Amino acid sequence: MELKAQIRDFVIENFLFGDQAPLSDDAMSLLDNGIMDSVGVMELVGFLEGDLFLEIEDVELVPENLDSVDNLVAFVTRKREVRTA
Amino acid sequence: MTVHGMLETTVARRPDAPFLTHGDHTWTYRDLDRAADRVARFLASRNVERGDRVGLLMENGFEYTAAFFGSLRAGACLVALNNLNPPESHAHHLTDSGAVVLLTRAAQARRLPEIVIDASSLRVVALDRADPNWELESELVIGEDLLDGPDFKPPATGADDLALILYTSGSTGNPRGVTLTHGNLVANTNQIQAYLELTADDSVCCVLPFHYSFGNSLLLTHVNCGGRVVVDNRFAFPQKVLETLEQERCTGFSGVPSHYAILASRTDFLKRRWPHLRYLSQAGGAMSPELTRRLHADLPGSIRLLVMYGQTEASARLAWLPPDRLPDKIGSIGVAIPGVTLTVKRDDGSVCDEGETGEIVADGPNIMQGYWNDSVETAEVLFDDGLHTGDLAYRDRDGFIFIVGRAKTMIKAGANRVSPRQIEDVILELEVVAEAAVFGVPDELLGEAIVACLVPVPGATIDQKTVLLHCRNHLASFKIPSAVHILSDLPRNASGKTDVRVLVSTYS
Repeated sequence: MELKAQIRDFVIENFLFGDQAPLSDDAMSLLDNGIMDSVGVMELVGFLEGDLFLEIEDVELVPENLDSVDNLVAFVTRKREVRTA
Repeated sequence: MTVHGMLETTVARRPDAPFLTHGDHTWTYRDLDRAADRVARFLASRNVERGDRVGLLMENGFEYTAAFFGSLRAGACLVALNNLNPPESHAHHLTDSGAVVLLTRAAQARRLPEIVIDASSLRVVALDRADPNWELESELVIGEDLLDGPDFKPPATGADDLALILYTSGSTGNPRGVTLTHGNLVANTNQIQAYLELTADDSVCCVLPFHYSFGNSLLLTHVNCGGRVVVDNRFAFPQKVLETLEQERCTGFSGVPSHYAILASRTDFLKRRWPHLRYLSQAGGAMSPELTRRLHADLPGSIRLLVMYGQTEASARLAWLPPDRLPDKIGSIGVAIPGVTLTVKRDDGSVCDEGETGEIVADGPNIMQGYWNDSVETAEVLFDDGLHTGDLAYRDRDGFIFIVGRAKTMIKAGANRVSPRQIEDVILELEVVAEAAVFGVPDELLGEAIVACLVPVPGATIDQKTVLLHCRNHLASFKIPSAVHILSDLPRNASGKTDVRVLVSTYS
């Protein structure tokens, strides 16, 4: 599955319980729009580490990496590039 | 003394001292005074009178504090709303309290249901112009010129006037409005300030919402002592909060157990040195003894860890564990704060012996007046001897109190008191659900996680996702169950009622 679809799937299934409507834009803030809260961020990190096999450093827990589908796609892509370099 | 009187005293003493920092901006006490004056004049010009209720729906920030103190100066009683709640609950709280004005922000006003917007008895006022499409009244914009108008004479509000209504979950599932007077809040502010030894040199990093009694107490204690509140609403990204803590040289940090669990597990908080940090305070539910030990062991000795206990019905705070007793009393909520009496009592009202479990009964000037317009619920908790907290505890030989459970079936998820009944009622709205049981199970991060078990009507099927989506549409995010189990039957006790203890042990 394409990375963006995989991340969207996780967000929709885990935070929105299958309802796609609130995630109308891949650039929208998950936090500001009430899709994810602080506990949700921890679940998201569990997904990145458990399902996408990434090691997330504490300093990487910032909105620039995690607070939208687009940010997540860019972050995961960067992490994978570093790993394969 | 009144709550806004505390601000006026501080303004007279330290007008140019920093009051609140949020992002790159810092406001002084003079700024707060002027903005609060603007709000008060606005409300007076709209015929808000002493004792009228004014709703407040906003994230933490300068506007919230201006609206808060301005409304009190105008003589109003605030109804502070939780912005995490779904819009329909705002409608309930505003209607139930009879609020005449709602002060909010444009982005939040846009999400309000029509029943609020169209209510003829309620004026909705946005305090910003963030949304140019927002057509409601937005003439009250903080930061613009002070409103001209007739001379404003603040009403003679006193200690016995109601200052604040905070809605909490009730045992029946219906929310209840905790009513607190100026006298209640001022008393608790002074009590907390005394044991925390707060001074004008203190600045607290505040991640707790002001509409929550713990967050409200941070605001009031720092206004009273002339200290600074550093607002950071980004705890979902804890590293950002640590940057704030360091850059702003905060002397205090206050959180609920899940904040400390996240700081300990997902940040380098415990590995770093914090030369400016004087104390950490924790309330909002029991923190696990393991985490408490770890914080105590790994933090520099210069940082005091203060474990505290309270209830919204007590303005905020009832007990604290003096830091020098933390190592030998881990797991205890400590002793009563100055001015409060805590007694562990049997059902017949007599005082329990040492080591004997009973209910904590609290008395003091900070105890609420009752639940708004709800004499039945009030009569269940307020008695001649004080507030019956519903918490079961024992007192050890040194007088330290240890909580062992709750007399009432409430769940404490994160820092939130959650009524299982309310969640059951929402789940039972689904026609295919015949029975539902909701309960809490131990959880490392949240203290308790919410679990729902349900039985479909004969012949019907239902999946977990449908239940969770329904909950998301009708409940605050912190009330959505972490797990849903679909069963063919619920376990029963001898009297035929659902045996929650069996469910808890099965799903823990």
